[in-house]
Amino acid sequence: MANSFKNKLLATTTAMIMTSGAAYAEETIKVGILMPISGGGASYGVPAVDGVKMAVDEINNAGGVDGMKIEYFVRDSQLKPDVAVAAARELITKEGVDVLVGAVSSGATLAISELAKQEQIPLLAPVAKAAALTSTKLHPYIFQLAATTDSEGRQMADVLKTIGAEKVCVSGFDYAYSHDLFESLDKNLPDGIEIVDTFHVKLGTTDYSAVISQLMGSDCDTVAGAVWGGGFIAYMKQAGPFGVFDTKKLVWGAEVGSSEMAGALKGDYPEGMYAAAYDLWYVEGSEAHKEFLANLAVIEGTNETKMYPVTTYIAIQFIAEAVRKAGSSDPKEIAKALVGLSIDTPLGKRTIDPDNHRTNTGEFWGPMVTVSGTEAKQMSPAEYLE
Amino acid sequence: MFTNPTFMFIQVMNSFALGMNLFIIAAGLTLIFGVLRVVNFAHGAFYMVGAYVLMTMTNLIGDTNTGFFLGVLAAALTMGIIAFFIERFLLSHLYDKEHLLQLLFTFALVLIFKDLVKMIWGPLQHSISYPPAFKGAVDLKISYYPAYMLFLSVVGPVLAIGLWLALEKTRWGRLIRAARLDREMLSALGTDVKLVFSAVFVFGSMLAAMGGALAAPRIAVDPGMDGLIIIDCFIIVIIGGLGSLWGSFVGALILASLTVFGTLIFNEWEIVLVYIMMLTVLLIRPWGLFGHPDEERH
Repeated sequence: MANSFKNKLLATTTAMIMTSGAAYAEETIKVGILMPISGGGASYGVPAVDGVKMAVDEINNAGGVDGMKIEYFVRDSQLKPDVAVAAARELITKEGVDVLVGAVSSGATLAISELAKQEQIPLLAPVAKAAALTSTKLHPYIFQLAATTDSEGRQMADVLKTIGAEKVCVSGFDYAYSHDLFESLDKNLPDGIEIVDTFHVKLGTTDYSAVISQLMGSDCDTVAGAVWGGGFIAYMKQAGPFGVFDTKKLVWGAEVGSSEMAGALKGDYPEGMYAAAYDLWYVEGSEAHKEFLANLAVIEGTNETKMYPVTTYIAIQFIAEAVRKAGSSDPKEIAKALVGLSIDTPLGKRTIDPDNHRTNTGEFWGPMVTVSGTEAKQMSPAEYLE
Repeated sequence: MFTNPTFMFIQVMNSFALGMNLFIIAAGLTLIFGVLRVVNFAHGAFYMVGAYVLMTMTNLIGDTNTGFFLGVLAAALTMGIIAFFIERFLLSHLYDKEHLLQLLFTFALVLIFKDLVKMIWGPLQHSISYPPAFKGAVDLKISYYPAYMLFLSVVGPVLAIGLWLALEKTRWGRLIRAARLDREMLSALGTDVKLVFSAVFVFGSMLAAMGGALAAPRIAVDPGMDGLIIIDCFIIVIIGGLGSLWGSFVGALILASLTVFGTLIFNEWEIVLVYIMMLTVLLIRPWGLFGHPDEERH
């Protein structure tokens, strides 16, 4: 009798715990955000978190996803794989997140992707571009929302053809991203355009004088570059006085066409350089994009909004739609629902390819030119390439 | 490429200009260590503050020569004032404590300054224009060469000679050298050693900020810029000898040459090359090329 009572009590308690757990799970969708919010990567991470905040506020204010609110937890991944993994682990075990979004650098993202695979928690990568993420390292829980080096190389080849390049020097940081990009570029180059020299620099270096002197000594007519972030600023500042801009045409990937970069370099940004960007505040586009920019302007307190918010905004849109489709915030169900999912974003329709978990993310490409009334150069005309 | 004399000349010039910028920063670190015996991890953060103060000044005054040079001066002065308060109210209490506490303290400063910089100037990357006087290139007959790099190549040696003269020929220089050798004896002789320490910390920190301001037009100004430079500075002072002015001069030139020529010859091995050099020096002359064996006893 006593045993029977104990068993009943145990069963009831277990049932209560389970029910309350289920009820709680239904109330919120927990999203872990891994972004560099300190150090040199903060210029990407901080705006990226703005995009998350904006999407989450919009969804929650509209009643959530089938009544479930989204709750997000931000952790500093810096640009370091070990820091990113430790933060991701903490988000999974302590906060109990259902899905992860991050990080910025390909190295850090590849590292968290392994953890996501082990823990069976979906990871949406909005910024990292290394093709390896969704080729050799593809698994059921990784989804690459950023453009990849495969598509970027193809776009770069198109641009080189447009500007009439013949002999091309390539220059980037000496690591996976640049290697993959220039391999893809080489594959996509039409007849008549060839890569004649490769000048790579150590990742994170601040002195480019040695490679710039080499570049000046090469007979290439065009430089295709992939140095990004602060490295791009330093590269351009140091290349200018050596006369690189007067003697060679420039085509640069790695989203250096962003208004952040143009705003930093101002008059020192090479006139006419072809660059790429995910989003540009001065390209209005569709009604959805106009509305997105107007709302972002409120959060950022300026109409000249940044480029990275749109990438994480779209990531949250994907998560919300996946939960809606799955009818649950269970990580495994979210991962299944993401496969082949299509959504309308401020930048048009995006679909996750069921075969390789990539999206059809395009980029704006065009020459950066001086525009009256502002110090920062702007991409004009800006063409959206997929 | 290496048989081309013009090309080689430009690379030597590149090494020298970069080396001189590094020297200005490392000289401050070596001076502070030489006298205070404190390994200042925050030296890179002070360098970063210098760059940001210059940015504020050029934004206020404009991208003019006056704006730039007043900005460099303001960078050094601002950091000097901050360093004075840090030394007087915080660091000075740690001189007689174990080294670990000093290390932890300067490391805490790194974190505090990183956050302060982000709070004051934001997380974005910035760029500072070259002063108009040194914006373009100069015709050196063999080749055109960036004017700003030539400017750095002149400032470095001038500062080195100035510092050397100040250390060798002035009363303050003698006090600083005496404090390096035997602080207790100096104190017993009636000199206010506290004041000497304070002055050295302030001056060394001003050099970091000035170096940051002078480096700023060539690089990106962002809240992560302190990380790389502090590693470079430590490599320089280890190669040159902790506490030695000329050691940091030569160390800076070695590091810069390895960076420039290493990129050209070995490329991906360039970074290893620097550490091999440092290890070799540590094995053969643990006190550095220009240091003194007795420095280790302190």
